[in-house]
Amino acid sequence: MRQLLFEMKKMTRTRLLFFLAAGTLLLIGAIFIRNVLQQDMVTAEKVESFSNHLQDVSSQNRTDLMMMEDEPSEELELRLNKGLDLQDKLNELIDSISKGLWEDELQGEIEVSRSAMAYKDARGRYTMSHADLEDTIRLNEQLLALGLPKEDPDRSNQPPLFMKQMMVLVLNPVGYTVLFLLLGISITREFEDRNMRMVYAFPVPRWRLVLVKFISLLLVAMSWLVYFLLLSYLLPNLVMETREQIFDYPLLLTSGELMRVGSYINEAVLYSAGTLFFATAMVTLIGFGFRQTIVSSVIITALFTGGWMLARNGMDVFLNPFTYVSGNQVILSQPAFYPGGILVLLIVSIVLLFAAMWSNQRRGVAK
Amino acid sequence: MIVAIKNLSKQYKKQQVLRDISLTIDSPGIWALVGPNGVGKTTFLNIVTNLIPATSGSVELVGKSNKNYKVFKEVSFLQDNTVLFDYLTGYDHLKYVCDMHRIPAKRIREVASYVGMENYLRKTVGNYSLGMKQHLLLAMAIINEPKLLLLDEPLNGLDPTSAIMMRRILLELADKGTTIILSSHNLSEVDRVTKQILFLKDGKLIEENMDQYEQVYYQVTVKKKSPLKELLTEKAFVFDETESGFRILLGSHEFQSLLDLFQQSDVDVLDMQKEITGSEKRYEEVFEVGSL
Repeated sequence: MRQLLFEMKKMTRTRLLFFLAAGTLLLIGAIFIRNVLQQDMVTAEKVESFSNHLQDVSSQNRTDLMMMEDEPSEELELRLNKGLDLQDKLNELIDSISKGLWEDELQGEIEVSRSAMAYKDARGRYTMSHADLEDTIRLNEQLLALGLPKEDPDRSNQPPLFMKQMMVLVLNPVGYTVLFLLLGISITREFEDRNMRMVYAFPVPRWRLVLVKFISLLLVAMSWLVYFLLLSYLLPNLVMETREQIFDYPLLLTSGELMRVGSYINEAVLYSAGTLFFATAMVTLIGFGFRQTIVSSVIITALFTGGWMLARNGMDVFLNPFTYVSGNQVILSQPAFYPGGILVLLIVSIVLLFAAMWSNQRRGVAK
Repeated sequence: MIVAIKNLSKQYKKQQVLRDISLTIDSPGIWALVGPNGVGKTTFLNIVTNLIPATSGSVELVGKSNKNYKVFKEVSFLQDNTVLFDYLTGYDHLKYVCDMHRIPAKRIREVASYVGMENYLRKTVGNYSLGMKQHLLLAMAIINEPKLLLLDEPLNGLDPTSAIMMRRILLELADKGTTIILSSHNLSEVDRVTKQILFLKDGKLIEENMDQYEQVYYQVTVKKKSPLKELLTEKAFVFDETESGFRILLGSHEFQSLLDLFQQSDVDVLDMQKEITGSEKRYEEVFEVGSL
């Protein structure tokens, strides 16, 4: 315990914690302000998007009308009817969006989607796929049932959606790499600055030195996670009005199923905690193993980047701990990995920690 | 047995730094590990304390293998000041040592006062001078009242006041029963604290007791040199002529003979200073230091 307190004292004196806290606050604050300032753009972009669809459908309708005059056919007539219906519905939808009538907007989007599917079945051109249109219908029906307007997932100021946005933005291979490069330095610098020579000359088993260092880094990492989540939750709560049932806001999984954002956050928090546990053990092993800041940094970066690339290319392997570094991807595309994936992370972490303790037991401070 | 080293060797690739060293020390006192820069003194101490693994051989300190971490309950190692944390205070360092040894924190004030660092105990080490850092390192090394104290170049870069204080403390600790091994290339300081020298040459340890090499000189300042000079030559004293007098080498029991000579020559002796040397000459012999 005293050793642990000493480690924490060292971290506070190096101002590592301060910079971590300040950097996190600045980032979250900046994103939140950006979301607030861009709310008007959300509406404008929606209008623009459906206006583009309207323009496309209108253009096709005009072409079909001309063709009907030259060479009428049943198929063409069917497509034209569907196209005109779609055109009307798009106009109504754009009108609802412009007036800020969110319930009409949700219903209107459902009707547009159904109409678009029928238009596509009649060989009309509409850029959204059947699957996407069905997803839109499913999502909007759920939102209407909950009484929630649709939010832009990258610009919402509702607490759980803002938390999700921040988690996707920060708790990913890049974010973890930056965090653990900072934390890993606290090990390697003590070897490079020769401080470890003093520590190794005390009546403390070397495996305990490794364990205490691991625990201190883990405490810092977990504290940072709690701080990060609290900030992400409290900031929008303090500034904006929170909608009721917002934690039930539905998210679309890759499979097309819906998931509550509250459940998403639960899983994301647990995956993040597990990943922090794993990454701390890995950094402890690498730091005590290589004992050089540059070498360790290169290895840490390569491992996180490589793991991310594997996951990105579809190699989401259940037993691969690097799969969970992209927590968002795992939650949305591999729901079956939960909660077993957390167990995988914990088991691998313990193995890495034991490896670090064992390999340093007989090793001196220098060759 | 305080120190029991058997057949200790260390090789780095093709370079043999230590060759089959054996050493036993079973009593309190001060031993000085002496050798030129780069000969391996620090490496030897690091291996003895298991900070660096040996290639072969064994080391036991205070009856325990040096690989047993518990050995450091009774053994302290004063290393160079780079091991200190610049962003922590002297108090932080001493508190950490107390916590590692499970010693009450009140001991910190005692030791800080003993080594003379009360005034800067709460300052960060980054603001310490070299002498202040050495005081802190010494305080850290003695706070647990070790049976065996190993010091790596403790007198390096110290001002005269700090060097005197360090020397005093080491002699007091040795008197109280601590076994001390210090490495140094500061021969005049080594002479003042111990006669037991361990020369490290070509990876081998040569144990010497400087009592047998001790030489006593007297710097004699006289008004007129000539009558005394003839007498010293006649009596076969070994001496060098200086600007103001003579530097006379005396063997044991020759002091009275010298005094008799002064009386005989009726010379006016203005001043007489005693000077003891030994290690430097022996050092020159061991390390074959040629003249310029």
